[in-house]
Amino acid sequence: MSLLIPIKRDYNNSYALKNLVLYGLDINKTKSHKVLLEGEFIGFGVNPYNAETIIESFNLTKRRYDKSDGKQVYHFVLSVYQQYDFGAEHRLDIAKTLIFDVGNYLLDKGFQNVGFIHNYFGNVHIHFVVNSVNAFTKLKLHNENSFYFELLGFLRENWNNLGFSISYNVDDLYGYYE
Amino acid sequence: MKQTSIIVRIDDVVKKSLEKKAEKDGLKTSKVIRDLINDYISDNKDLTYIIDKDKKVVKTFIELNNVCSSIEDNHIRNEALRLLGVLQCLY
Repeated sequence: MSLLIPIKRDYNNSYALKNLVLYGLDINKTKSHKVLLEGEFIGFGVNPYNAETIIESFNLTKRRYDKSDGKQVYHFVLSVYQQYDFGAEHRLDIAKTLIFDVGNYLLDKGFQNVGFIHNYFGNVHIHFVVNSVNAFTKLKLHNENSFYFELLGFLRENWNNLGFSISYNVDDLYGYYE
Repeated sequence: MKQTSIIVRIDDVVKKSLEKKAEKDGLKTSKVIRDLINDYISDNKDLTYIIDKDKKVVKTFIELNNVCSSIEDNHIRNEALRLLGVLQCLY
């Protein structure tokens, strides 16, 4: 059914964050300065004015805690699909509620994050970009696996009807079509 | 309490006087230095304040971001977020 797909890439270089945010916003690199706000994305603990302010919100936390090196961000995808499905429009409605639940859950733990809702020919999924530095504890997230399993537990508890499971294969994301 | 190490480079004269004091009190030189540093920090509360300040700054920015994003009026929200973005870049 629905999937939690952690994207296990390095994201070590300084462009990782920028590339991810621009990909999530699905905008041209030269247009990053334009005012956003109306798109299908929501920032939690970040400034959603434009792509640059989103990136700067992440970097401010890194700078204050002197942890600008190493892994910059964590990236995972939530693919939304129900057993008794009512079409892409319904899945989009679910995604719009799900994004708030997951975003606030991560921010409560101290991780700034942005969620981007994508609708790829009826394949509704949410990209989450999470800051690697915890804003409340100063610590960097190291134990990635336990982080994702805790998140999976949260999703199964609160979104039981979506039947979440975890997959490390990115191709699974494109398994469902309308 | 978590303990971490730090390398301190001091003049020969200072080192000798510290060793003398340690010998007199029957302590290790490192213990004398540790006590001196602890005394200094407890006398100067602003040092611990600097460390706490970072956390407060980050938390306040996060709260500000959330508050500004939730302003309903489009024009006011845009302006608040733009100004906050400028502040973030300057900080």
